[in-house]
Amino acid sequence: MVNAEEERLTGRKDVASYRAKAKEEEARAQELWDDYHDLKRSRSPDTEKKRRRHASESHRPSCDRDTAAEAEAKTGARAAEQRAKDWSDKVSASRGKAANAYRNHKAFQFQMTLTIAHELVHFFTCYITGGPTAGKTPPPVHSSHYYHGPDRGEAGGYWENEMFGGAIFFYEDTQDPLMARQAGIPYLGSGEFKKATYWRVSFSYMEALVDPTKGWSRFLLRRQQVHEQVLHAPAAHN
Amino acid sequence: MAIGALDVACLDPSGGDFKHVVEPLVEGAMRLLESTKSRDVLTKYGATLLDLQEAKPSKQMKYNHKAADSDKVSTYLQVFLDKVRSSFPKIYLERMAADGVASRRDWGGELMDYDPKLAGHITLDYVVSSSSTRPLPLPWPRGYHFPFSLYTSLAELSNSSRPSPTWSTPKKSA
Repeated sequence: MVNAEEERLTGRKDVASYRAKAKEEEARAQELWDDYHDLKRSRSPDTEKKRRRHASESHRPSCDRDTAAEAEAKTGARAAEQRAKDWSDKVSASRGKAANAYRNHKAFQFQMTLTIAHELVHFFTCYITGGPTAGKTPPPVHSSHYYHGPDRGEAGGYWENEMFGGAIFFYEDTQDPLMARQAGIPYLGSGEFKKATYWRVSFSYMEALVDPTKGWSRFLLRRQQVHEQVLHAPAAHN
Repeated sequence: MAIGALDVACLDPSGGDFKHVVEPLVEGAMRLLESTKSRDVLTKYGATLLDLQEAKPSKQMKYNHKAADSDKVSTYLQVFLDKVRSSFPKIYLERMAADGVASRRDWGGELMDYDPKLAGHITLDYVVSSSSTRPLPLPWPRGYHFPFSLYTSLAELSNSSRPSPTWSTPKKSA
């Protein structure tokens, strides 16, 4: 007669099916929440499930469980559904933030990696020519995206230009919730500085470059220039 | 081949040990430089340097290569990359107005005896590389916590007034 009592309390005729659906959603949300919880505490999911099962079976008498079930029935299936939805929202939001943080992290790493490579090209100049004064890049070797003058060029910029077909700079993403803390979006400026076309650098390329397990070499195996593999469609806001 | 003898120093008394954070980035940079495309670019660049020297001799060029040396640039490049891998220049992390600066010194020796550690050091701007001023939102993806802590901790440092360093800051050249 529990269903009849619920029907009277909630004013719904299809309490049984509604309740079953809500329970199912709640279980799914709980599972997601468990994943999130494990992720946060760095626990193995198996251990955590065992711990929960142990806690529920050993330390809660069955009569308590029945009482709790009745109380929940009285509260109504709608509350359970709302709770399930809240859980889902929380989990989605957390995972969205984590994914964004991951993207930013890879972009930071990509930026530092490019910087190190860029500086090593200056070392190469010094290696070929001699000491620090001699290491000055000759003016013909330059990139329009970097400072150069009549008395000096820019070896790192030249290397970037030849390697990627332009210079890579990071621009603010106004949609990024990290705001000032973001890495920005890397764009490849192709062509002369003031007439450059900007291309967004592929995230998978950045990810593969900073993590060898992602198989960066696949970008090189195809007999095409690297930058052709780097690029996606032209940016909407050039 | 793994990066050998990587030395990373944070020029802030409250900074920590960032070697294992910077190491994969150095590895990535080396992979870039060692790629076929990059080798072609650098070989072409090295040959250009030597041709320019031959066309217009400059006192700045310490080593007077012969014209025939242009053909050996790819060999020199390989030596350079191997030497850099085995003895990477010291890396300093410091706040500065650029992403990074290569400070070079007179390493005065034979091309085959090049020692990158003697030839200079690299200074990286940890404020730019972090670009964040407060901790990023939790939860971290598992296994990525520590690299993030570099960025967030460095960012926190960037907010605080910098204490006077207890050691001398290396001299930088453009």
